[in-house]
Amino acid sequence: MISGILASLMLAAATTGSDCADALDRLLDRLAAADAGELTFVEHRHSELLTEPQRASGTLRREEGGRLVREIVKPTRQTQVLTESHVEIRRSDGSQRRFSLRRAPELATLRRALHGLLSGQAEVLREDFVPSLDSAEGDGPWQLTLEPRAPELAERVERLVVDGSGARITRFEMHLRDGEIIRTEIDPQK
Amino acid sequence: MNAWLRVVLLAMLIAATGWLAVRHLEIDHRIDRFLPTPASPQQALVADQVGSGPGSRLILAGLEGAETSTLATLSHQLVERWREIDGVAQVENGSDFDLDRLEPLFVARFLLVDGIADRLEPESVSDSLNERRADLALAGRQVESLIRRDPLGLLPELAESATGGRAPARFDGAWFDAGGQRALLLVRTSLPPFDIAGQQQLLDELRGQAEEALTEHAVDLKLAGTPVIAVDSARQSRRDAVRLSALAGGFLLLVLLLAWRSVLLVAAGSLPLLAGVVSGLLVTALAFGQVHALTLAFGFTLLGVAMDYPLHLFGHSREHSMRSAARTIRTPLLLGALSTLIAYLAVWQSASPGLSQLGAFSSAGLAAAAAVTLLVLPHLKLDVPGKPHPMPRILPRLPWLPGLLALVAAGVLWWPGQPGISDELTRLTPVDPQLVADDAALRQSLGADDLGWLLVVREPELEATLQAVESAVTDLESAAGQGLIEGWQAVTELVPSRARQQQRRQQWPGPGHMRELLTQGNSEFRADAFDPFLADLAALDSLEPIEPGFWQSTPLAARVESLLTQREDGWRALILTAGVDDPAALDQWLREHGSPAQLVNLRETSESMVADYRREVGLSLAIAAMLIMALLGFRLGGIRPMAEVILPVAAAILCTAAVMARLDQGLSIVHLIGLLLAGGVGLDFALFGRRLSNTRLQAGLTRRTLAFCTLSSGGVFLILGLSEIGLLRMLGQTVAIGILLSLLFAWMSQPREPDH
Repeated sequence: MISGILASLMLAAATTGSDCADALDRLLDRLAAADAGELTFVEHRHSELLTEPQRASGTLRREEGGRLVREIVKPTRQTQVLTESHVEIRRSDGSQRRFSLRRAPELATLRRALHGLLSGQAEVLREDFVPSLDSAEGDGPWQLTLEPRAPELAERVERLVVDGSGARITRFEMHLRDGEIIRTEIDPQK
Repeated sequence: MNAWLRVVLLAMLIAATGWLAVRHLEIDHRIDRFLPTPASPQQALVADQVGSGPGSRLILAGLEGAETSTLATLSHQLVERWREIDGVAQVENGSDFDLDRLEPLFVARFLLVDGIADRLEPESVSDSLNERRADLALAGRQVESLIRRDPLGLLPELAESATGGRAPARFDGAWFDAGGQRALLLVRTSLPPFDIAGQQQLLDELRGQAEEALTEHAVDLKLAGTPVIAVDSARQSRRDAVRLSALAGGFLLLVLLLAWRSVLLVAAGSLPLLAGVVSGLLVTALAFGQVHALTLAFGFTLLGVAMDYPLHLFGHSREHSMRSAARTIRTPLLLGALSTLIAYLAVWQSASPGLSQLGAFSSAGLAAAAAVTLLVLPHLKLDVPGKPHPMPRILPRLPWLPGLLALVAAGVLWWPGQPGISDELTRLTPVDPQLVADDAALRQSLGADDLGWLLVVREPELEATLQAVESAVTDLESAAGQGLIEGWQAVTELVPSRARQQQRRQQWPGPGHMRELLTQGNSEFRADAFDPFLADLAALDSLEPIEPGFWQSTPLAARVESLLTQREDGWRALILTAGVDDPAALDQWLREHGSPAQLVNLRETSESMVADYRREVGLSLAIAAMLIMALLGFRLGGIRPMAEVILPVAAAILCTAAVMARLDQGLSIVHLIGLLLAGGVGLDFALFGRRLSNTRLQAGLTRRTLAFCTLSSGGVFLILGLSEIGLLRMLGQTVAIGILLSLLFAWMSQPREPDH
């Protein structure tokens, strides 16, 4: 009898687990279906040097080959192209800088996370992160926490928390190990 | 056995004397000590640059064979490792600067940058601060401290000019070539370029460290630059010299065994040469305190003539006792030795320390060899086995033929339009063309300095020199606009003139005003964000003017030292150029604009130095020739006997000169030395040929002896002539041909023997 109860408890737990996994897949499916081609964002970052937190605003979009392009409009015009291996920065005066993503773990984390999220590839997310999803079904709000697996990323980035509602991402917060938090608001209206 | 004992004892005695003399002797490897004394400031500059110029201390490195980000990481690792090596003054790979290393730049930056007024324009300040904002947004806390200290971004600019490279691209803060396939690094050594052994060791260590760093990667490291080429050249020369010396030594032994059929005689016959070497070393040590490596090398060859003396002695000893043979050959041998001695003494008088040593070494050596042959060997109670083998006449008697050929040779040499003389240095040593190509490729990618020319500014006082350099730089800036030059390195980038420093000092506002400017530029920064920068600015007032000594214990010390030197008559500053395709056009531009900078073409100047050298040696030898003729005329009793002896030798020398001038496109100083040696041997031949042919037997013995002399000495030099090293090849071929012709002409001029 007891073993039977235990067995059904375990089964229930297992089912809930796979429910969780399924929930992530469903969420990603919803996001992919909504296919926000371009996201408008405002990024807040605090610095000791600044009177107010920095606000950088612009647009984010995904390109083929796993590239993520951030077009910054304020404070200066800059295009940042994040590829699998490097970052390319094009300034308004035409100058360019290139360096490998190994030197900017936050950007690497961002790229992988958004790539996975926007393309609806749950396996990619699971490969790179330990996901945990707090969600409701349907159009309700949800929160996805991603902890990077790769040690060189985990060294700098503690976790990335993505908040959304229904099929939209509304904001994400990157928590760095040194205590800094980078907040990005996603604005659906341009 | 007794004879053996005597010979061995004697050899040991001579060797012991030698060892005692040489124990404390230093061997000098400095090439510049062998060069002629410079006759003009340009030549002094070249001698200096060869000795210790900045171009000759630069090693260029390239890494390829992996993807770009891996190469960049490896490049940074190599920089760390290489900086630890002894003998490395500076390693650069374009890396984002290491603040500790560049602390002096932080302190001095206000006095080093120009265009200060423009930088302080509100728009400009605003732009800089926005850039800093963007950096902050991207890199976060990591760059905060740097931004605090350098809101205007002065450091990246200065760091760029401090490294001395202008690579086209950067990835992950490392220099790359245009294609992004090869990571580039620059290494500056503190070793003088003539310290070949030290450079070799340094290169080995660079490669060793690289191997350790690159073990898991299939990455290729390429090293290029003057030290690499010099070391490779020296290695090849050494290898070649050793190989050929062994070959020549073995050949010589064989010939001597063939001539004398006795090992004992070969041992005894080496005594004069041994005595010659020891004596040469002794005298050189006494007169100069040290011996140059090249003196030793050439000295051994010049003593080749000393091998002939025992050949003569033993050759005429079959018939009579050795003592009686010694008496017979005494006159021609002494005359020949004395004449050659006069020529070597003339070389001793040379103004170049190296040549002078050579003369001393050879004179002492020759005298000792002759003395031992005549005075010591006959008393060793040696027996020459076998019957005398006189050699029949092979060539008909044609005493006029050498004279005719001499005239033809003279014609060839002095025919207008034919290259009679050549002063190119590049033919003297072996240089691997691959290394030269590598150097060109890396040098261009790195935008590193041209090697063939420099700009020089000379003034009696330091301040005047620095101001003149700054004026020259202004001229170069306009020249660059004309496409005459791409880049340059001037000492005023690190040590501006006082006048300019003062000017810049005044252009910077006080901290209070600066603070306002910054706040107006960008109000997003906190009021106290740039306090470290403002503190630096406040310290400017109490900052001492920058002197050359400011950079002393920094990695940039070598740069400053090589570009600015104090001489007895004032100061000399160099400006290194990059990307000059037409030096003559640049020179003309500078002349037209009355620039204080002078373009020195290193190659041309070095060639003129060698030409002067050659002329000087030629003159000394011409005087020696006349003295020799006088001596012979006196001893042989008249002009005619003297002419009969001199003619075959002079003819041999002229014909050899003509042949070598055609073969090598012009005679160089090496050929002159070869002709000197061949002349010495030829004179011996002529003297013996004419004076020791009184009977048929004697004439036959003389012919045979001369033949063996030719075989031994000529053979040895022929082997040397097979070398890949231009120097050795020229010398070997010249002497071999000279000796052969001397033999033939001596045979042709042998007087008719009285028939018995």
